[in-house]
Amino acid sequence: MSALFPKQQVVGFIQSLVLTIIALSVYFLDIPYRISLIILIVTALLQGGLQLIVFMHMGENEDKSVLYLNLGYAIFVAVTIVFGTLWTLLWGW
Amino acid sequence: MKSKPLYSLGEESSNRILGFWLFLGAEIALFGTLFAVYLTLANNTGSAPTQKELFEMNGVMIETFALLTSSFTIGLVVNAIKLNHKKAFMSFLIITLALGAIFLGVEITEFFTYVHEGATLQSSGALSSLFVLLGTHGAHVTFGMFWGIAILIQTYREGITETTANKTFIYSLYWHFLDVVWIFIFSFVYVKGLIG
Repeated sequence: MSALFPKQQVVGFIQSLVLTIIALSVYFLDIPYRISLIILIVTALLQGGLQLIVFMHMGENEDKSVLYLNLGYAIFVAVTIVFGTLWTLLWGW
Repeated sequence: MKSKPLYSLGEESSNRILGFWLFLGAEIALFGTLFAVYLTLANNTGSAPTQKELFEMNGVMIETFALLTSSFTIGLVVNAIKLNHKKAFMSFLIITLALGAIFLGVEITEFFTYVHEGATLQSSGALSSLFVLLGTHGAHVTFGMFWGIAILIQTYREGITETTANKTFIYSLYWHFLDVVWIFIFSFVYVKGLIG
């Protein structure tokens, strides 16, 4: 029975629940907007990393370096698009 | 040396997994552009309802916990492959799909409520970009439901083989990825919209 629920994945699930509750606390507690956004960014990034390592078994793949390179590039593109857009269109450049 | 898991035994299986990771890279760029559009237009609400007026935390919380739990159970499906435990495989996959259905049910209800409150795709820039972002994610989940059902049927017929194990592992990558995208939607669309 316990083999069906490996410890690593159960712990990963609990961690993801805790991160979600921390993100939710921003809504339920009265926290300044800027600090709230920082908390959201940190919890979202940790949550993403958790999924990649614990659940998607990224580190177990034999083409690990190719995966990290591809993922790194994809994140670079996404971050450039998002912050480039915000910088030019919203933050008054 | 650790023996290779069933889902990535042959060279073709490994290549399929690698190819799917490359596809996910493109998906990250896709959702990146949709987030950029939404974050740019989020305050352009015009005379339409604002996000703060529209969003309901209860529904969003159900969606989030349904998807998070399904991400855990699809992980248990992959673990069942390693144990060669077909019954557990089928059970966890059915739970995963049921949670996916709950997610979609809540999201569709939510969309109906928005439209009922006068918030449609045409109402404002903020709502157009909101619906496109949520809709693209929801369409992915819908596609994932059909994909999951197909895998369920094939595994039911053929058992846990190298082929079905490989397909299931790739499907699990897709499902986890949708969970990650949802976490970003949850944080930067819903929570941000409700506190902003």
